[in-house]
Amino acid sequence: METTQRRWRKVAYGGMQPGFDDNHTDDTFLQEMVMNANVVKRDMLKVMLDSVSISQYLCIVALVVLVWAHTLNSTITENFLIILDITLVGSGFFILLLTAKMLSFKLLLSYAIKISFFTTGLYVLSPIYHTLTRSISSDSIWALTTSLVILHLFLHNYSGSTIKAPGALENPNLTSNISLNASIVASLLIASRLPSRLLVFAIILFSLQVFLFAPLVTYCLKKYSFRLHLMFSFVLMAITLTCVYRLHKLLFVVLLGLLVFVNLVCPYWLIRIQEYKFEINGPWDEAKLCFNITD
Amino acid sequence: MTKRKCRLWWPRHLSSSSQPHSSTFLFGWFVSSAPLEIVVAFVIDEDVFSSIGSDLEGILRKTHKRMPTSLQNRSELSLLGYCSVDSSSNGELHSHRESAEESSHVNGTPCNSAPHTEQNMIKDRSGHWICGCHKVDGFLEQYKTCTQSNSGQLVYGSYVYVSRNLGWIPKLHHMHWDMQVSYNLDLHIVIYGTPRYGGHHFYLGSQHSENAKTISKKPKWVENLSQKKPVLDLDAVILATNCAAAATSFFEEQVSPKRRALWFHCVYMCITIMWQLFAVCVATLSTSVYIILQLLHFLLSYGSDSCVYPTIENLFIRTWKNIHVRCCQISYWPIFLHNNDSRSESCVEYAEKASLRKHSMWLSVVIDMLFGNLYGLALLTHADSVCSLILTITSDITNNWWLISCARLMGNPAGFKLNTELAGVLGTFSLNTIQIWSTLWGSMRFVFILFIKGLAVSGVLFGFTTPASLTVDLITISTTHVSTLHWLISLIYSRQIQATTALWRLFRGQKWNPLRERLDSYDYTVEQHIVGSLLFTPLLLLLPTTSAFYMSFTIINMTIGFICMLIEVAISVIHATPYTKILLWLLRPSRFPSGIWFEIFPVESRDMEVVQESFDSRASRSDILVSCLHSYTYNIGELVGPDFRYLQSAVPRSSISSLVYRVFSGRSLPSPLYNLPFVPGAGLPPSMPWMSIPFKEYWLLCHDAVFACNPLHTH
Repeated sequence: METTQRRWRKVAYGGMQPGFDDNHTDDTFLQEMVMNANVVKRDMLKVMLDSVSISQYLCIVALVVLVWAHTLNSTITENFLIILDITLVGSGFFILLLTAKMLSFKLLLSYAIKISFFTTGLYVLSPIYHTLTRSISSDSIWALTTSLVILHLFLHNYSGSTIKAPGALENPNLTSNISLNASIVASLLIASRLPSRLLVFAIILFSLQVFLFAPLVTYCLKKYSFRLHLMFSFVLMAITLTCVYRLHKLLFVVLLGLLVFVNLVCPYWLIRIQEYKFEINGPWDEAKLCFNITD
Repeated sequence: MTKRKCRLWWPRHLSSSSQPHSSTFLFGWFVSSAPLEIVVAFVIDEDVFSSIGSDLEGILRKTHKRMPTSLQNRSELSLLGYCSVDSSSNGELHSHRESAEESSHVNGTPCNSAPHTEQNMIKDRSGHWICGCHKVDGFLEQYKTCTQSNSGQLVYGSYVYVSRNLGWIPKLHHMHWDMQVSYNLDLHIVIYGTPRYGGHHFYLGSQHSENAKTISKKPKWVENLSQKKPVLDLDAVILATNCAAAATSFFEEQVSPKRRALWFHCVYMCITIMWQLFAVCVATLSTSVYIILQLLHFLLSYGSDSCVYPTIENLFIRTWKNIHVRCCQISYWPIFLHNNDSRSESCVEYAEKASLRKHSMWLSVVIDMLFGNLYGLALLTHADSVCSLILTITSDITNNWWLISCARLMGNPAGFKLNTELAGVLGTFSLNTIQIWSTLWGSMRFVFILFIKGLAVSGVLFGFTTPASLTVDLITISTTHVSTLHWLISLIYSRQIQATTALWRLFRGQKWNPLRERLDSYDYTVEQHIVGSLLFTPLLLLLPTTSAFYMSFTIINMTIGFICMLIEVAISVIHATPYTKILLWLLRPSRFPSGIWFEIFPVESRDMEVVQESFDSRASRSDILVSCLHSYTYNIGELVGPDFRYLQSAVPRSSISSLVYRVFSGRSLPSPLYNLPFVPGAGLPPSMPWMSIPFKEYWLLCHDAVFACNPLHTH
């Protein structure tokens, strides 16, 4: 046994240490390992409360589809739709004014200008949309719309909002853009089935308002007061279920099952499999920046 | 002593089947390359040689000056050597060692034995080494004093009998070269039939010129790397063989001008007078045509100031070009025919090429006029029926086919889901256009019969190509509405395709970078996404409608373009076909050689064995090989191939896939025939100036050109 053998030291410089291999590790290797460092300990109730926002958005989309179905059946008239649009715009602005913190007059003005441009453009384009898919059979349109709505729900960014709330830092990523496009195209396809131009304009305006602004409004509401958010969600769920029940029983069952799945089954499942989570971090990981680079 | 290789080129007509009765002097060219090439042009007997005397050098020089420049630079026509005939034996080689020992004195016998040892070399009074060829030296003294050139290059040989079909050919024993004597000669005798104009000639083939073209794209130093000194310099040799007949006749002219018999003179005068009359007729006829053309040109130049002239020129662009070409051909044919360069007198190859060039233009004009007359007369007799047929066909196509197809497009053709409104707009627009246009043209129906007659008359006057190009121009003009509609719809279609692809890239978060020609990732804002998807849906769903209309118009346009292209290709083929070459090839294919080959004959070796016995140890034997020079001739494909190569360049190779891509992306189709040179093979440069020489000079030019074609006029 060599007595002159030095102890091995873990250094980043100095080259090879004599008597040891280049890839020598000693028994202190795993001492700095950290397990499950970033894993959040979840609570069942918290998870269920968080999943309420998902089911809230689900109900919003279901309500939009309901409105489409009723308009296609000629149950809803044009005037009702236009009144609905104006109401939605007004209430949305109202909620924003109440809840958002960093809201300035300039921002509101920019929103107003954009909305007016948008509405004018839609009105001009609505005759084109009116006859766009007349030669395509209805079955193709229903199938396409359904798949696009499912795609939209699948790729939607439930954590933030599409239209940036003031003060938000996240950039929209590709999937949220794709989901937005899917929703717009679905609403255009449905609108092209309608009998009159004004209906076309009204329904597109309605769908776009909901798809673009509903996430923003609910986000602001949630940030303002959680209890208000919960109440709003439950009311929304009740209204949706009632209307769907009146329309079609099977769809009601499906929606109910979906809501139960999202709210009850999924949290339980998540908690159950949480204990199998095993994350290893150690000094061998890539360095991550712990601050944001801003210009 | 090293073996020296040499090759003797011997004309076939000089090797007779009977033994030659006198020794001869050989005249021709030395071409010094790795094996020494000795090209024999003609021989003269001893007595003729002595009678020429001191004039020999002057005559040789004059003859040499009349040879082509490239041969003059390469080698000089000179006395090659002496070939003796052995009168004591029957011509077979056998040893003459005894006579060689005898010839150590000055008055020797003719030297005709192969080996001479060095003991036989003696010095004469002036201290030069001479061999035993003393008798020859007597003649050569005169020659040597006359010439300043180094007369140390001479060969000596004798006639031997090889075989029945080859006859007597010379076999070289030794040669004097640069004050050295070489006895060991590896001799290769090539027997060639002397090329004559109208018979055959030799040509090496054009592979090396094509190689030069491909090499020229590389930089110069690469060229120098790959250039090796050619081992065989057959270019100069073949040139010399082609000039042999001319050299012979020039020499003989100067030595002894021919005295012809009296009856020959009478016949000659008769033929000359007849040819003169013919030349006068042709000159008068063509001068009258020239006068008419000049008059027309003068009248037209007045009208060129108005705006009608360029309009007509742009509308009838092909006819205009064709008439211009035809007038140039009619004006310039005597110049081409008259073109005689001095070098074509001496070399058969150049003479043949010059004659092809001379006769190409007038022959193509004559053949075109012939076809035109046939066509014109046929059309004149059947004018009415043709007129009604064409009118019926066009109205049938327009009404029953095209209008109905437009109407069908507005419905649901072939199960396509067409948008009704857009299809309605496009269909109504095109239907109205077609109706208006066909009504306009239908009102000119009564003029159409006059036009058909005009077409026939132009065929009679100007040849077949003019009515063909008139037809193409008229088809183009009368289908202007088709091409306009096609252009409009392709504009809409291509813009729609481009917008759809750009919006599709927007959804994927990418953007086209036109500078780098690649896709870059790009973050679009939410508003851009919204507007993008609002616009994407109608563009995508209206695309089938636009593409259905675009496809139908493209098919119609391409059909018309294809028909026009076929006619244009026919016109250019008629212009480019080398009628002279084909006609001459049919009559005598040997006038178009494409390469050479050697036929090897076995030499009887008993001569060699006899000689070998008598050799002494220091001498070694010389090898002899006899072969005969033949030439390959072109077949018809290779003959006319180069003239039609321009067609290949007009139609690009990679065009099928790119054509399909261009059609589907809505861009305009490339028109291959804009690159087609209009008159590729007729030997005319693209822009010939209008001829404006006085009429009298033109008459003289025509007369001289036709008279020069007199067959008895040749030397």
